[in-house]
Amino acid sequence: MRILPLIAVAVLASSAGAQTSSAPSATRSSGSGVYSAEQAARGMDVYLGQCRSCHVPDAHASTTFQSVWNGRTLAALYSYLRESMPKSEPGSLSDQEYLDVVSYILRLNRMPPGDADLPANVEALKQIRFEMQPIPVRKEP
Amino acid sequence: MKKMLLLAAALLVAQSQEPRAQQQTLVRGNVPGEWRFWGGDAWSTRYSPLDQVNARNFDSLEVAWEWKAGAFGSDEYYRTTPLYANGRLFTVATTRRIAAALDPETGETLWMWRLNEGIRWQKAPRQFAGRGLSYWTDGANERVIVVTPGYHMASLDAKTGIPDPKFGKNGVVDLMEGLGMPLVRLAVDDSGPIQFSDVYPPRAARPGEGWDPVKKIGADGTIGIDPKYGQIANSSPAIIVNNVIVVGNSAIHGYYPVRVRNIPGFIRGFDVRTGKQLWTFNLIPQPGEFGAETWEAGSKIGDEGVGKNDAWATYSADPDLGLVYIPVGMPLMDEYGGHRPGANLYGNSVVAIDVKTGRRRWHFQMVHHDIWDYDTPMAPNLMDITVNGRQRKALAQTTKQGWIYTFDRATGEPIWPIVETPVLQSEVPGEKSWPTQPIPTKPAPYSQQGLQEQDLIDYTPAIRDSALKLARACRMGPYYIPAQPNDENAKNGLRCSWYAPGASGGVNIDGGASVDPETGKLYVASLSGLSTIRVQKDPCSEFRYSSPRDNCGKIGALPPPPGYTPGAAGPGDGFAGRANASRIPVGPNQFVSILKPRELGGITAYDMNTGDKAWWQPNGGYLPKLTVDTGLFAGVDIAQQPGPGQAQIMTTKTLMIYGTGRNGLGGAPGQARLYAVDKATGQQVGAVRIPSRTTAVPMTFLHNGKQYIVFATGQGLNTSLVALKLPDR
Repeated sequence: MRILPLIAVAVLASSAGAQTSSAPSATRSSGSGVYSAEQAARGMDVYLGQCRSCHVPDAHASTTFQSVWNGRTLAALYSYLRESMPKSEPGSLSDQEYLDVVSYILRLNRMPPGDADLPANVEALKQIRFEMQPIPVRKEP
Repeated sequence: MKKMLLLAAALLVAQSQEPRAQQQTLVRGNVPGEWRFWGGDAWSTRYSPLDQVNARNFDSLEVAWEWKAGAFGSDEYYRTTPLYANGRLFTVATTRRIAAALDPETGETLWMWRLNEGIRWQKAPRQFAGRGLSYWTDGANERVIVVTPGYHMASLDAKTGIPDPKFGKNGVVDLMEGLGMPLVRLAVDDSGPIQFSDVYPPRAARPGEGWDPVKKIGADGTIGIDPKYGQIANSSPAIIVNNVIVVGNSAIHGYYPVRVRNIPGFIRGFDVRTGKQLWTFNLIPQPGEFGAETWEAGSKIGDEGVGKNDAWATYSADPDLGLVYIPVGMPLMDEYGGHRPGANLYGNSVVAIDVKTGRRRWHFQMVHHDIWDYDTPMAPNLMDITVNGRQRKALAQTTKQGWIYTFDRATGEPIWPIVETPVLQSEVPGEKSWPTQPIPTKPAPYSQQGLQEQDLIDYTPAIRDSALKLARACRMGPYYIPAQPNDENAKNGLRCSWYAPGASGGVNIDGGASVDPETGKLYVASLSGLSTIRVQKDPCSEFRYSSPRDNCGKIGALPPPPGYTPGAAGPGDGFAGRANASRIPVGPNQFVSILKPRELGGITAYDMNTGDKAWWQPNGGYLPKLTVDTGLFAGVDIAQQPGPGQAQIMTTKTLMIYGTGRNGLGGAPGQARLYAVDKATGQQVGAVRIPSRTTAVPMTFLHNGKQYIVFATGQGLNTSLVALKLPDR
C-alpha cells in the first residue's frame, strides 16, 4: 500500500468538506483533463468493490450531487471521501484508492481524461475546481 | 415469463466422465470432505474435517487455477462462496447471477445457465452475483437451485445445467407469484438501476405501452408484482432441508427510502422435486396472526410503516429436528421507526420454523423496534456443547450489535440468561423507541458497543480531555444509543449520537463465524469501529425523518416543498461525518482514535462450553503502530490499534483459515494473503500470498485425493474464483 505525501485536511466538523469547499483561488477546472483514463479505470474497480453496495454510479453524477460539489475543490471531495467513507470503516482505504475514486467520479460526470493522474497532494487538489461543463448537444445530421 | 430466454447448458463438457451421485453418510447434511451448503453444512459450521493442508505445509500452497468470472460480465465485489458436491464445483457469478459448474481440478467450465429477466433484473434491488447456490440429491438425481436477482427460482440438473422440466414451469418457479400481491406488466421511465433506497423504481405499464429499444424505456413484457407494493429481491441462496426448499427474500436498502410502505419478508417452503409451494410464513405477521399486535399502527401489507423484515441472509437447519433457523432483518427505514410503533415482530429475530408445516416452533427478538440497522446478518451457527455438565443442542446467533445470543435450538430457551434492560430513549419527534432491549449475560461482546468515558484514551490528562471533548459532541451511552435529530429538537444541542457497532456490524454477511464441532469453539470475525448517527427530514420523502438525504428531483420521490433549495442538506449521502469525529488528527494523514485499543473486532475465539473467550487475533495478524513525535502525543507510547476489515474464516481439522476481506490490509496486488491459525491457540502458523484479497468466505473440499481451497476475489470485470492446492509431488 503506497503512502502518498498527502497533506491531510483535518476537518472534524460533521459536515466535513462543506466547510472547506469554496476555493476562489483554484485555478484549474476539473474539465481540463486532470486525471487519466487508467486512473479512472482503477477508481471504478475500487468503487465497485467498496462503494457500490451503498451507492450507484448514477447518483454520483446526479443533479443533486452536482449542485453540492460544483464550484468546490477536488481537495474537498477527496477529504470528504477519506473522512466519511466507506461508512463502516471510514479512512480504511489507501490514499491512492480514495484519489482513484475521485477520478472515477470525474469520469462519471463526463469530464474528459488527460495524460496524467490526479496530483497526489491535497495542496495541488485545492487548485482544481469541480466544474460542471455544459454538455454539448449533438445535432441530428 | 414469455420473454424469458433460457441460455441453458451452453457448455457441456466431459459428460462421459461425470461422477455418479451416491448415497453417502451425511454429517450435518453434508458428506465429510465436501461443501454442500453455503455454510459448509446445514449447521453453517464452515468446518471441514480435512487435514491435508496443515500448519507444516500451508505456506507451500499454490494457485491450482483461476476461473475468470469477469469474462462473463461485471459484478460489484464477488461475494460468493461456491459449493462442492459429488465431484463438481458450483458457483454463481456476475450481476446476472449466472449459475455454473466447474471442474474442481482444472477450473474448466462444465456448464453455465442464466435467465433473461428484463425489467425485473434492471430494477432488482440486489443486482449482484449473490452469496451462492443450494444443492440437493436423492442419490439418483442431483439438482442445483439458484434464486435470481429478479426473484425467480430455477432447478438445474447438476450434471448438465439443464432446467428440470418437472420443476415449476420448465424448471423455473416465479417467486413473485404466490405472495398474494397482483402481478402486472412492468415498465420503466429510465434505463438505469433502482437507486438507494427506492427512487427510480419500475411502475405498472400503461395499456398498450411498448418498449423503446433506443431509449430503453417503456414496457418490455416483463411481469412482476405491482410496484405500488414496493420491491422484492434476493441476495442469498435457499436452504434445502428434508426435501423442502426454504427460500426467503431480500428488499430495498433501508437507508433513506421515500415511501413509507414496502413489501415485507416471507419465508416459503417448496417441494424440491416439483417446485410446488408448500407453505408461507409471514415475517410481518398479518392481522390475526401471532405477533400482529406488535405493530401498533397495523401490520397489513400496504399499511403505513409496514415493510421489510426480510430475512436476506443465509439460513441454517437441523435436519434431524426438522427445523430451519431464519435470521430476520429489520423493518422498513433503518434509523427512524416513527411510522411503525411497536416491537415489530419478527424483525431482528431468529425464528425456528418446522420445515414440514411452515409453523413457528420458537423465536427470539434480539432488538425490539430497531432504529440502528441491526439486521440479523448471518446464518446462526448450530453446535452441540456441554454447559455445566449438561449436553445442549445449541444455536449461536452472531449479530451486528456485537453479541452472541445462544439458545437451545430445539426449544429456544437461552443457554445463558438474556436480560431485558432499560436503554436510552429517542428524542426524535414521533419516534417511540422501545424502553428495554435484551442483553446477553454471556458470552462477552466481540465489538465496541456505544461510547462511554471509560472507553476513551487517557495516556495523559491532556489527551483524555481532548478525547472527552470530541466524545461529548455526540450523545454517549453504553449501547443502543438512538439517533439524535439534526434539527432544533435535539436536546442539549447534540445533533449526533455515537454509533457502535455501526450499520455494518459487528458481524455482517461478508464475515461471520465458524464452528469447531469437535471442541465446541466458535470463531467470530467482526468489525469494531466507532461512528456517528443522526436523522433529519428528507424534503422529498414521505418519512418524517430518515438518514440525511435529499431525494428531490428523482423519479419516485415527492415533489420539492415550497422554498426548497437543492443541496442545502449538505453533501447528500447520508453517512457524512459518521466517523470523522472519533479521531484526533495528529499529522499528515495521521489520526488517533479516541477509543482505547481493546481486543475487539478481528477474530475472537469462544469456548462455547463455558461461554468464555479463548483467544483473539487482529484481522491479518496485524496491529498498526502509530508514532507521533509532536504535539499532544509527543513522547506517548500509543498502543497498537487493530486494523480494518472483516475476516472471512473457515475451520479445518487443525486450522482456522481466513482471508482479510475486501477492506483488510495488505490489499495491493501481490500483497494479499490467506492466513492459517492454530485453531487451538490462535497462533498464526502460515500466510500465503494470493492474487488479491478475498471477497467472500473461502471453502475447501477433497477432490481425487487432493484438498483444494477456493475463494472469490475481485470486483467489476476483475472477479474470479481462485483455487489453491499443495504442489504435486
